[in-house]
Amino acid sequence: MAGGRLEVFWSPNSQDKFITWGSDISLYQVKNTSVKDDISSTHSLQISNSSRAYQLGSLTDVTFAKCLAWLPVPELEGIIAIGQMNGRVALTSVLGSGEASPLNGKEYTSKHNRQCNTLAWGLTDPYVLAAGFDKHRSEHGLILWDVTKGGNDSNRPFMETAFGDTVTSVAWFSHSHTMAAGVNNKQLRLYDFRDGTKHTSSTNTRAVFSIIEDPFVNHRIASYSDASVCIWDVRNFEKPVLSLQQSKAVSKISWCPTHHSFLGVLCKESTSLSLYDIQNANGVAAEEMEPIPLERGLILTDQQNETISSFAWHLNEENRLLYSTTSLNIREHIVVDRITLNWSPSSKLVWNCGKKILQYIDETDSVYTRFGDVSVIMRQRAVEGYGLEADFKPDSELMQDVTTRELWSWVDTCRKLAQSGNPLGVNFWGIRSALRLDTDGVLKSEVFHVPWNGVETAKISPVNVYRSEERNQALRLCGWPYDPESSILGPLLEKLQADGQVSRAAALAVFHMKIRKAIKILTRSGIQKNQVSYQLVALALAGFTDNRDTLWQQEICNMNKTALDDSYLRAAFCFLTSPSEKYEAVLNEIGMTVRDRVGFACCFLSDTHLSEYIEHLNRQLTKEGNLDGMLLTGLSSDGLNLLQSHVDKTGDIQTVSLLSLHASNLEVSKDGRMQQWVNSYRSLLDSWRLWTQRAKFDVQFYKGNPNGAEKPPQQVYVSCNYCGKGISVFSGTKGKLHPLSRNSPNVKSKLTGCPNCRNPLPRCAVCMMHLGSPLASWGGPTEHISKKPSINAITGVSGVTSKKTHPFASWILWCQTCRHGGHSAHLLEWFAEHSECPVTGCSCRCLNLDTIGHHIPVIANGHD
Amino acid sequence: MFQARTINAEHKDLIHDVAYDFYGRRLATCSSDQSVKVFDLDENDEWRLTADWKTHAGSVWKVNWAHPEFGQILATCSFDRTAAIWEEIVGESGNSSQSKNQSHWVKRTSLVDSRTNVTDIKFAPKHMGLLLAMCSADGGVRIYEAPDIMNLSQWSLQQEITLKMPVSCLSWNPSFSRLHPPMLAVGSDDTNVASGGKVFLFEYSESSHRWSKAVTINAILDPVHDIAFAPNLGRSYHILGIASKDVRIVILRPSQKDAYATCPTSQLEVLEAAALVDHKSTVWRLSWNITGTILASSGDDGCLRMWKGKINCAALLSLKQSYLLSISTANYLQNWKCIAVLKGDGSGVNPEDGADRDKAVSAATTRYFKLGAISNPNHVTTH
Repeated sequence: MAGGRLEVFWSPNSQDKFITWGSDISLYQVKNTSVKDDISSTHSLQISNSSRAYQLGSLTDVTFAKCLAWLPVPELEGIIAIGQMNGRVALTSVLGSGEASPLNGKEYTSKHNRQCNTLAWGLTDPYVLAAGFDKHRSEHGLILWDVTKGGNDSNRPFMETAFGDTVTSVAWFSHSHTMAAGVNNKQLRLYDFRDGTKHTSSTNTRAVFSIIEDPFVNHRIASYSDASVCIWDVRNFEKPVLSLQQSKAVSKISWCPTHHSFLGVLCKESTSLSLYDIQNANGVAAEEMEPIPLERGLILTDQQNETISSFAWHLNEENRLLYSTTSLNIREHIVVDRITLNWSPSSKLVWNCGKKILQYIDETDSVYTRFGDVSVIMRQRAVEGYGLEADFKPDSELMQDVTTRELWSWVDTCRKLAQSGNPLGVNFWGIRSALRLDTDGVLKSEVFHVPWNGVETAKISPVNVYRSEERNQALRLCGWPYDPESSILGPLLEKLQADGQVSRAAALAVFHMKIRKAIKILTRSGIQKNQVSYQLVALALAGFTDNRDTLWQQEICNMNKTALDDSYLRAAFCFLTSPSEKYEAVLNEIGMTVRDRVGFACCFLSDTHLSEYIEHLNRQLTKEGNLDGMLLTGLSSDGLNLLQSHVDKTGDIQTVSLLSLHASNLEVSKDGRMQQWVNSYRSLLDSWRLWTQRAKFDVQFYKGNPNGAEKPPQQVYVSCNYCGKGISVFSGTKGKLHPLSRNSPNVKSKLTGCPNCRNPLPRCAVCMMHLGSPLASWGGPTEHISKKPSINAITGVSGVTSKKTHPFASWILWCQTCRHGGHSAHLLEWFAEHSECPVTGCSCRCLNLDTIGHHIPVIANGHD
Repeated sequence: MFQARTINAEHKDLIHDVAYDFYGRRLATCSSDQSVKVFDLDENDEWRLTADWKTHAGSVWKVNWAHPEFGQILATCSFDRTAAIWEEIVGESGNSSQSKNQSHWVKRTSLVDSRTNVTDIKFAPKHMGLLLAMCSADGGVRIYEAPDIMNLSQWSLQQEITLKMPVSCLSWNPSFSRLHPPMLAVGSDDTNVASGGKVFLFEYSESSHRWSKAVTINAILDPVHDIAFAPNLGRSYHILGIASKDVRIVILRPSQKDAYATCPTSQLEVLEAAALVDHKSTVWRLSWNITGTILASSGDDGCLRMWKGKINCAALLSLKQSYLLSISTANYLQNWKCIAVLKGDGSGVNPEDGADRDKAVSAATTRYFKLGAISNPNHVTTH
C-alpha cells in the first residue's frame, strides 16, 4: 500500500481490537481512558475523548501486501491472511511469534507470479480461505484452500474455478457455501460450491469491486466501480436494484452490522462519509416499490489537507465506527441517528435519541430557563390570574417587571379618571391626546417662575415652569401633582417612600423645587436603612447653588454622571446643574420611568420643545415596541401600532389581549389586529387547559362590551319531556324551544316538576330521586370522588372535590349517547368506580366517550 | 451535570417523528419499524404508553394530530406510498381495567393517491376545517378535506398540485389572521442545486377556491429536509424556519396596502432573516415554541440548537438617531442567535459552546459552509 494510505479493520474476534495497515500492520486494543495508566506510552493513540488504543503487536514486512483478511476465529486472535503482489498468500499473526498456532506461518502460492487481489474467510466454515487473483491463461482465478489441512498436500487447493479469469473481489454469503465474485472487470458471478465449480448465475456489470453482503438482508449485496455503488438482489440479478452515483471514485463500502440496510460509502480524497439508509417496503407494496436510499453526509475531518483513507464499522456496538486519515490519524466516531424533535404548547421539548429513547426537557429544567421562553412567563401569569384580578399580588413576578407595572398603573389612573368623567380616562387617551398633539393642536402655556423652597431664595434664581390646562391633564396621567400648589405632592412622596422608592421621591421633590424636602427624605431613609450613601447625597444636595462659578456646580457637574448609579439621583443632580432649560440629560435618563420623564417634560419644557420631545419619545418607544409608550399614545390607532410592534418583538400576546378588555367599547376594538390578538390568546389559554381563565377572560371581554352585539346566545335549554316547554327559570323569555335540546342551566329553585304541565322531571340514574330534588348521599363509596370532571355537558367544571359544597353538585348531567343521566355529583362518584352507565342493562361507556375528559384542567394554584 | 428526562419508546428502528397533541398531553411517535406509539401524560406527570400498533408496510415518516375538536385523530404517512387516518376508539371491547390503560386505534381511511413515497402529512389549522395536506416524492402536494367531520372515512381530494421536484416536507401557516389568505409552504429535498429554489409558498384564494403558488424562495437551493411556520400569535409578519444544509429563517410580510378582500393573491414581501450555520452539517428537523419566539433545530452534529431572534442593539442605537426607517422594518433587525445547545443523548450542555458560536456567526461576513462535522471537535490524536 502507498505510504499515505492507512487502512483500519475491526477484529472479527474481539470487541476491543483493531488493526491498522499502512507501512506496517499493527494490532491495537482500545481502552477507556478513565483508566489512567501510561498515557504517555509511545505505542498508544488517543482515538476519542474517552478511549485510547494501545499497540499489542505489529508486522513490519508488509511491502508486498495487496490484501488481507482476518480469520474470524476467536481462539486464534491475531491470525490474518495477507495476499501479496507475487501471488503468495501468507498466514501470519500480528501478535508475532507470540501466537502459537499451527496456522501461523503457513503459506499458499499461486503457480505463477500474479497479484492476489482479494481474500475472504468462509462464514459457515471459517477455515476455508478464498483468494482471487489476476488472470493467467493457465490457472484459475479463484482458489479456495482449507487451511486446517495438514500434510504434504496441504497447499493443494480445496477448490478452483474461474479458469483464466481475473477475480477482483469475493464475498461469502452467510448461508451455506455460496459466494459472489467480481470477474474480469465486467461480471458478477454467484457460486454455490455444493453444486460444483460452475457459477450458478451472473450479471454483466463493471461494478466488480468489494462485494459485500448486507448482514440484514442476505439476498442483497453491494459492489462498486469507479464512482458508482450498485446494490443487487441476487434473486433478481439482471440489473442492480439501486445505483448510487458518487462525485468521486469510491474507495471503500461497508454495510453497518448494527443498523438495518445501512451502507457507508467512502470516496477517494473525501473528508466525509456518505451513509445510505436503504428503505424497503414489505407486503404487497414491496412488489411494486423499489428500495429508496436516504443519503446523509457525515463529515469526519475538518482539518486542512486531510482526507479519510479508510473506515470500519464496529461489529457490535451500534453506530460506532473507526476511521483513518491521510495524515495517519486514527479516530473513533459514533454516528448519531437523525434526531427528530417537537415542542409542545406547554413548553416541553422532546427529541429522540436513537431507536429506543425519547428525551425531554421542560420549563422546570435549569437549561430551559436559559431560553427565556416568553410562553412560560405568560402561562405562569395566566395561572396567577394576570389581568383578570383587580390587583397584582405584591410579591408576584409581575411587580418586578417595571414596564408591565407602569402600564397597568396607567390603566389604573385612567380608570380612576374615568370615574370622575374625565375624557382622558373614559377613552384611555394618552399624553399625546392630552396635549392635543394628535390633533395638531397648538399648545399655549404660561410661564411661572417658581422659587426654590427651602434654600435661601435670594441666592438662587427661580425656575421657569410651564403650565396650561393641557399640561395639567398630561400630569394627571403621569400621576404628578398638577395644581400650582402641588397639593398631592406630599402624599405622593410619602407613598413612594413607603414603597422604598427613596431616590425617586427625592428626585420628585427636587423637580418640584423642594430641596429641603428632598434632603429630609434622603437623610431619613439613610438613617432608617443605615445607608451612608443617601446621607452623603443629602449632604451634597444641601450645598446646592446655581452659581455656575462655584466649586459645587463645577464638581457636581463633573462627577455626577458616573459616580451615581441611581438614575433618579443622577437626574436630580443633572437638573440642578443644567443651564437654564437645557434638560437633555434628565430627559434622556433611561433609568427614569417614562411617566416621570414625561411629567418632567410637561413641567419644564417650552411648548415647542415639549411637543418635539413627546413625539421623539413616542417614535422611539413605538419602534422598540416598548409598552411604556402606551402612556403617550393611549389606546388609539397609534397605540395599536405600538402594541403590534411589542407583539412582533416579544410575542407577548397576553398583555395586549388583556388591554383589549379595557378597550372593548372603544373604536380600536374593531381593529382586526386587536381581534386577532384576542383570538390567539384565547386559543393559547385553551391549549394550556386554562379553561377557567379563558372563560373569565371571555366574561370580562363581553362585560366590557355593553352593547352585547357579539355576546353569544344561550346554547342549551332544558325542556320538559311531556310538554316540551322550557323548565329553566330564564328560558321563558327566550321564545321557542327545541323539544330535543336538553341540558342543565341553573335550576335555582328546588324544582322537581315541570312548571308548565306539572309532570315530574326524570329521575337521577343513581339516587332514583327526581332531578331537581335536593342532593342526597346515596350510601355508596363516597370517599373516592374522581378528579376527572366529565361527560359532554359540563367540561367547564374543574376540580370537583366535594359534592356537598360544590355549586355544580346538583346539576343535571346527560350522556349524549345513551341519554341517561342524573346529578353530577352522583355520576362522578359512579364513574370513579365504574366505566359503564349506571342504568341497568345499558353498557354505554359514557365517561370514556368524552376524550376531553382525559385533559385535566390546570388547577388555579399551579401548573399541572 | 444536566440530564434530560427520558421516555422509553422502545421502537425497533429509527424514530422519524414525534408529535404532541393540541394540549401537549399526548405524544405520538412513528418509526422505521412501521409502527406508531401513543404516550399519554398521567396524573403524576409520567408518560405512559397507551397504544402501539403497526400502521404501514414501510417506514412511517410523519405522524400528526388533528385538533381535538374533531376527535382523537392521527394522520400518518409512509414509504409504502400511503397515508392513513386513525381514530381512537374507547370502551368498545375489553374489560374496564384494560380500557383504562390501553386505547384502540382504528384506521378510518387510507389515502392511496400517491404513487410514490409519501414524505409528509399535516392537518390544517382548525379554523380551516378538517383539512389535511400530504406531499410525496413524485412532487405531488395533495389537499384533502373531510366534508363531514363525523365521518372520517370520507376524504375528498380538494386539490392536487404537482411540482417538478420531489417534495419532502410541508407546513401550514397557523395564523388566525383574516388579513391575509391561508398559506402552505412546501420544501423539496432535490439535491440538484441547478433546479432552482427549493421552498414554495401556496396561497388559497377564497374566490377561486384554489391553492396557487405565490412565491418560490429562490435563495434556498440546497435540499430542504424540514420546514416550519412559526406559530403566529398576532405578529404582523410570518416566520418560516427551513432546515437545509443550515438553518434558514425567512420572514414573510404581507404587504399592508393590499387588503385581503381586494387582492386575492396578496403580495408577500420575502426577507431572509438568517442563515445559521452552527450545526456545520445537515439540519434535519425544526420545531418552534408555542409563541414562535424560539426555534429548535436538530442536525447531523448530534445536537439540538435553540435559536432566538434578539433585538440588534447596534441597529437600535442607530434608530435613535434616525427616524427614517419605518416601524415595521425595525422589527426585522433581529439578530438570530444560538441561545443553547443540547446534546442528542440529553447529557451535557455546554453554555460556552453557544456563546462562542454567537460571535462566530455575527463576525462572519463571508460565510464558510461545512457540510458536516464530527460531533466533538476536540479529538486529539497522539502517536
